[in-house]
Amino acid sequence: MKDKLGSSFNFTAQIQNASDERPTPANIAVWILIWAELSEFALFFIVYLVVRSHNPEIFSEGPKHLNTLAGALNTLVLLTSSYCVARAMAGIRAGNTDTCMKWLTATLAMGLTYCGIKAWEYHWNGEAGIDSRTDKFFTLYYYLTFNHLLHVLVGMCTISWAMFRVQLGAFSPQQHEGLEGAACYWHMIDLAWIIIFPLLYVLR
Amino acid sequence: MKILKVIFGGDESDKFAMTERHWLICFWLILLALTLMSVFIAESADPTAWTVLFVSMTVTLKGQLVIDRLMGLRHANPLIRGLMLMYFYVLALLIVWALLFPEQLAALTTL
Repeated sequence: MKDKLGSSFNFTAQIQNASDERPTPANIAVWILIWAELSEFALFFIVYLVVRSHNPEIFSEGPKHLNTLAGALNTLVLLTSSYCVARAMAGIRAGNTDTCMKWLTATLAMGLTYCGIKAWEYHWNGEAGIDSRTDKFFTLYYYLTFNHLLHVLVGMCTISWAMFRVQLGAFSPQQHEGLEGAACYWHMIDLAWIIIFPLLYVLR
Repeated sequence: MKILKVIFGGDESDKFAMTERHWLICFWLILLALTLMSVFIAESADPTAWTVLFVSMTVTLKGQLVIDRLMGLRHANPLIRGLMLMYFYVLALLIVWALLFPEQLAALTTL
């Protein structure tokens, strides 16, 4: 038992110390959470590809009825939000709390914009008579995009909490692990969308 | 103009921060360009094997840019970086296979 615990601690230490130049952002718990979330999305992607291979006509026709403009705008918004988070991290590393807060606010604004565009897209679908029971493509489309929207909402709560802590002066150029965790989670949301967008909207 | 100043301007005064800021802007613009390019190609051309390959390569490249440059894993722990990058390489290959050879995947997943 002791050996097992010992090897587990060694592994954690290895993860945290093996970097050659820059330390790895956040901590091992955050990376396990990120892998768990990405695995969940990967499972959805595999299900999508398998169902697609069995129903090629439905999945070739489905994307033609989607609002590609909304999908493309949301991609640009999420990529911009990732840029904003990266700038916020650069700000805290430089010891500039105001810059960090400014860019975290911009990230939240991008998150809200994403939610607004998604609401418009769902409304647009509804007007076109599309819902989750239209066919197998739209069932998976709603499952994937709504699940992603929930992750964006969780990410916005995380960023808000990080902003509150920045205001309290909890982070410094030397110690900002909590902020790094929130930033990495937000990037993970962007990474999932980088695959969702071409899979649902672009590839026919 | 004010929005542009917010995006391109900054308060970090040291030289390293200035350089980092310019690199971040550069990678962000590349990401936006890759997105617009893949949408344009997919919208303007009939779906072909080349479209699938191009879009999948774009996905991998965008994933790598976000992981290495925006998340800051380029010089981080190789295990964590490797696992994150592998996600994009494996999924991109899976997408190419599933879209170009759907019969094989269908046969493999038929009970």
